Parts: sequence; C-alpha cells; structure tokens
Amino acid sequence: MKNIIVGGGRVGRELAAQLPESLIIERNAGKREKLSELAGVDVIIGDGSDEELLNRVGLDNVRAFISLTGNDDVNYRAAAIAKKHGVPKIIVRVEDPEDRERFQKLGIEYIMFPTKIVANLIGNLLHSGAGETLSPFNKILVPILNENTVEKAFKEALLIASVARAEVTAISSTDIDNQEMKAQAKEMGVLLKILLEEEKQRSIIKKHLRYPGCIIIDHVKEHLYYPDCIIIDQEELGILDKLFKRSVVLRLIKCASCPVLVARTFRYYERIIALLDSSEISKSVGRYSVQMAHLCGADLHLLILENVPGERIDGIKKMGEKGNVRIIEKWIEGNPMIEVAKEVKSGNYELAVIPWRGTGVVGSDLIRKIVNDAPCSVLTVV
Amino acid sequence: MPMILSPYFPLFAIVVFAFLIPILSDRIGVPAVVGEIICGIIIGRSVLGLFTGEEEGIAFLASFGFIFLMFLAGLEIDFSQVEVQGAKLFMFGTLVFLLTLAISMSLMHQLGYGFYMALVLSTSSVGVIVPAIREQGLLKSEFGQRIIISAFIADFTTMLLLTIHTLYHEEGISWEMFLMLLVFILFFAVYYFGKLAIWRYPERLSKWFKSDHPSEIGVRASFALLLVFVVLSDVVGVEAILGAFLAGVILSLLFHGGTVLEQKLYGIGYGFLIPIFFINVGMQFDLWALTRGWIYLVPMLLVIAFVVKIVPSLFFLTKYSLKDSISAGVLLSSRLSLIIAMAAVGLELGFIDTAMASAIILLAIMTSVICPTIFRWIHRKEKKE
Repeated sequence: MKNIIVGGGRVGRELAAQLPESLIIERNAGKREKLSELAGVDVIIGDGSDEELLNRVGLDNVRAFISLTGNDDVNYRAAAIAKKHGVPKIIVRVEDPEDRERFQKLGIEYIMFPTKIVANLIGNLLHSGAGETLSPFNKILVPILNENTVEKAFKEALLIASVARAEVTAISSTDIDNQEMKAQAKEMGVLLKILLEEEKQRSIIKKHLRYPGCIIIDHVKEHLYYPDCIIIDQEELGILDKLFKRSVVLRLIKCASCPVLVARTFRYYERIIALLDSSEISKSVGRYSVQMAHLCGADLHLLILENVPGERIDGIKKMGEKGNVRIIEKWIEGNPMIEVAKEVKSGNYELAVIPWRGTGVVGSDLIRKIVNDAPCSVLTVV
Repeated sequence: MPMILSPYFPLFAIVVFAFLIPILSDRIGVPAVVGEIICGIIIGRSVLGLFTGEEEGIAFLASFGFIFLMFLAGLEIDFSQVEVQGAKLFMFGTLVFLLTLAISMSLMHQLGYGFYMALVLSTSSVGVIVPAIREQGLLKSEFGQRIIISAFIADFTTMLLLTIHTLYHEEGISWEMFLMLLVFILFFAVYYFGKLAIWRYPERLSKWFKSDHPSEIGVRASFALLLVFVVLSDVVGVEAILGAFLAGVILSLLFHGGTVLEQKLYGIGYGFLIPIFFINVGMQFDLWALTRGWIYLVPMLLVIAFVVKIVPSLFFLTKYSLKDSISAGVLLSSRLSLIIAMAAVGLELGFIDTAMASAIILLAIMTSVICPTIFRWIHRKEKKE
C-alpha cells in the first residue's frame, strides 16, 4: 500500500517526509533532485491529472491519493481519476473556496482550503488583543475513556488545536504509546502535555466507567487543569446503557463547565450546523459555531428553529463577517424536533454545535440522541 | 317551534353564542369560559328553557369537547420548564397537592365525610386554569407553568385515585385493577417508539407538521392517538379524560409544541368543541334545585374549596410575592369538569347523596366563575401598575 501525492511543492514535500512509502508526481523536472533526497519516497515527473500516467503508476493498491498542486483544475481532474479507480481515501487541496461545490459533487470526502485557513489564522494574529477573539479554545483536554481515545478524540483534538493554536493536555495511562502521541503532536505543531495516570487513579476510573459519576471531572480537577474544551471519543452504548442512561459522555457533558466535543469526524470541518432558538444558551451556540467555522474555513449553516430576535442573528452575522465565515440561514417550517433530527442526520455536516441540554424548543431527549448517535462530531456548549 | 325547522338549530344557536360570548365577556372583564357557562344557564333549563343539553348530537359533541379539552390541557403543559428546572417543579406540585389532600382529608373527616369527599375537594381544573393563564399571557412564564403543573398533578392524581377507589369499591382488590396499568404501558410504549421514530424517520414525520399537507395527516394522526387512549381507557375502566390527557401529554413530550399542527388542534378545540362543552355544563345545571334545602352545603364547600388550595399555595412564597401566591391559590381553587364527573361517579356508586352532588356542581360553577375572574382581576391590576 502506498500513498500518491500529486504536486511536489513545499506542502507535498513536507507531507512526503511524514509519509514514507509515498510516490510524488511533479510536473517540474527541476524539483526531482530535491524530492529524491526524501527517504523512502519515489518521484515521477509528469502531469498528475494525466489518466494514462496514473494508470501506469497504478491506482489499485493505493492507500491515499493526495492532490496538492496550486491549480484547482489539475487537482479536480486528478481526484476524479482517483475516484473512478476507487481509491479509498482522497484528499484534495482547493485554493478557491468557491470551488467547493464542484469537488463535493465529485464525492470527495476530504477537501482542504489552505488559503482560507491561513487567511483566518493571520486575521487572528492581527485581531488578537483587539477585542473579541475568534479563537475559541486555548486549552483542550483529552481525558481517557478507553484505549481508542488516542486514535480518535486525540486526532480531532490535534486538528483543532493546530488551527486554534491551543495546547492539548491528554491524560494517559502507561499502556498507551506516549511516544506516538508526542510524535503526532509534533508533526502538527501542537504543544502537548501528557499527564500520566497513576495505577490507583486508573483503577478508580475503570471502576466507574460503567456506572460513572462525576469521577472523571473530579479527576481532572485533581490535576488543577481547567480546560476550555474537552474532546472525547464517542461511546458504543448498548440498549441497557441507553435505558439506564449509563453514558460517560452524557455525564461528562452534564458535569463540565466548558464545551465538550464528541469526536467522530477526525478531519477539518467544511460544513458546520448550529441550532439556534430564542433561549439564552443559543448565544453561546452562535458564538462557538462562528469561531469553529472561522478556524476551519468552514461554511456555517444556522438552523433557526423559532422566532429568534433579529439582533441576535445580526450579531452572529457580524461576527461571521469579521471571521470571514460564510453563513447560510435556514428557517425551519414544521416541528423543530423533527427538522433538527432530519438536518443533523442528513450527513451534510461534519460538526453540529448544540446546546448542552434541552432548551424547550429542542428537548433534552433529542440532545442526548444527537450526542450519542449523530453521524458527525458534536460540540455541546454551555 | 324553531327547533323543528332544522335538526341543526340547537347547534346553530350554540355556535352563534360561542362566537358572541368572547366579545362580550372581554368587555365585561370575565373569562370566556365563565361567559359560556352563564350563557348556558340562561338558555338552558334553569332560566329560558330553550335547550336541555340533551339534544341529539349536542350531548355527544359536549362530551367529546370535554375529552378534547383534557387532550389540549395535556398538550399545553410545557415540559421544557420541567427540563430546565429539573424535578424541582414536579416536587413542588406534588408537595402542594399532598398538603391539599391532607388538609382536605382532615377537614372532611371532622365534618363527618369520608375519603371520597376529600378527594373531590382536592381536584383542580386544568381545563379552566390553562385558558385563564393563556388569556393573561402567562402560559410561557415560569409562574404560569408552576400553576399548570400543580393543577396537572392535582388532576392527574385525583383521576388516578378516583379510578383506584372506584375499582376497589366495585371489585375489591382484583386483577381488573391491574388492567389500568395497560393505559400507562401504552403511554410509555408510544412515548418510547415516538422518540425512536423522530430520530429514525424524520423525513416522513416532517410532512405531518407542514402546513400544506393536502390530507392534514398530522391532525388525523393526533385524533387517532387521542381516540386510541380514550377507547383503551374506557375499555379498562379508567376515566376517558385521563386517557385523553395522557395522549396530549405524549404529544407535548415528543414534539415540544409551537407548531402549525398545534395551532390547528387549538382551532378545532377552542374554536368549536370546547365552547359547546362549557355552554352545555351551564344548560344542564338545575338552578331551582337550590331551593330544596341543601343550600347551606354550598358556602361550606366553597370555604373548604378555597382553604385547601390557598394554604398549600403559600409554598409559592418561596419565589413569588404574597399577591402572586394567593392569586395562584385562588386560580388552583377553580374546579369544573373533573369535579362534575366525580360528583356523577360518586352519586352512582353511593359515595355521596343527591344533595351533595348538586352542591358539588354548584361549587364547580361558582369556582369556575369566581376564581379565573379574581385571577384575571389581580393580574390585570398588576399589568396596569
């Protein structure tokens, strides 16, 4: 299994250095020498959007196809060919955010907008210290729920931290490969602290994992670490767990005084949905959703569930303008509960920003359902 | 006789009055419900004798109006308040009810009456209280919801105790008593599967709530749900109004209200069926029975009716002013539909005599006239201030 990288520019080179067993296709023959210095990386000079060339290279045994040239048309053609050959993972760099739809229609799952992300980051630097910040989190905590946390919640935490310039603290047990975690954080330029579990604490957590109290939060407080956001893995709940409401994640959301993100996407968000009603908490929903959309260069879909004061929507739009976020308003007709379920389940979004508990218009039952079963990542805000 | 002209004449008359009463009662300053009952007394057997309330169709529409009223009462409970405040609101309502029942039991015991009368006096009337609160624009306020939840618990518990008491009296402790559990099993089953359906099939359900569905499928579904509960309740010997009420509660719990569908159901209820019920209550009342020597019962019951509600309502003082607390107690003192049903059941089973049954009906009419009027008066004054 190999990775194919189209475009041997700086980004392509950096990536290939992290991904041994890669093949770079670069149009400019002058870059061959520099690229060949990378260990375990093959280089082919040619057009990455040329089907004949790609056929020659062979797309059958490819793990990931990553098209990173600065030309959207080349990336589009290359991705279309890879898609046709059924490459399991296709990642595309898109320069012009307005090109998004074309790539989405192609069925590409992973679309990156470096221009927008970089522009937003620079905007952040310029605006920092000048009033409202558009970076939502400075300290992210990844508590341990099970050994897969490193794989899932940790990855999403690193993605968010890398754009939010936040530091990540993971509470780790010795049976998790800390070196691997550190290496991943370093690659993404994220400051990582690992707090090692002691045997005694670990046994307390394990004991309470099935019937959790607020033990995890107490445990976090013991470390005197007050995060801005907790990122956790989704849980696999059985029928009995659901019936008796034995969910660690839900308990955590209930106890936490900061937003909790349930990780399911493991990539940058492109489309974020936020539920907006007239409750007080929806102010936070609006703020966090704009901030997240700004960080990831995502579109923000505001699902407006009832008559919301005009000034609140205007406030969100103003914030969106400041953060270079495209906001799409959607006023619902019909029953809010049903429409929320319909939208969140549609698979059109990578992140749903919701209140942490029922607000009246949206019941707490539905909130629980979204947290447990939504197909996207879920950020519950307080 | 004009009635011979058309079988629809009684309905025509009632519907015209139902249209005129809110306009008049608004000018006079009494709730529409009160206007409807008084109108019923005037056109009914007590004064003009134009109608008896037993006319073909009218009696059925009135009884279905009562069922629909209880359905809407369940629908109008805003469970989001309970969600936001947690179990506190329910605990509060339960505490108020328990104190009411305790005072009622001790007073009735001293006067030589049994548990059944204590139960009768512990009732409230969600049906009168909800429209009164709605009229004052307090439906969405915490104060309004506190009163509604307290009334809901009082009504629900008395309905339940009435059913148990009746079944116990009729059959002793028998397996039939457990049949009533079926209604609650159905309640939880519908609630559970409803929740599941919202998450699993939102696309299909979505159409039910849209305003442009040609067959009004949402309204049809609501009626089907209502009738499933009503019929099951009847079959297992539970009061039909309890079933109707539970059907309303399910809709409120599942969909959280505020939709076009609800507006349509309110339209059918408050626009047509419910006024027929209230006018019918007035029409059926026999004012001249007052002279038959049990008149002394009425002031006694009236005083007890207020005491057992106003004293426990002082719990409202923990959050609201004395004026608000007393106004809540006064409004909770209004009794109508349930107490009338209980009078009928009590009479049938021999728990109470005819004199007491008539006194209870008069008490119902008086409290349902006086209480919402006082509540309205207190809050109108407050608004002006």
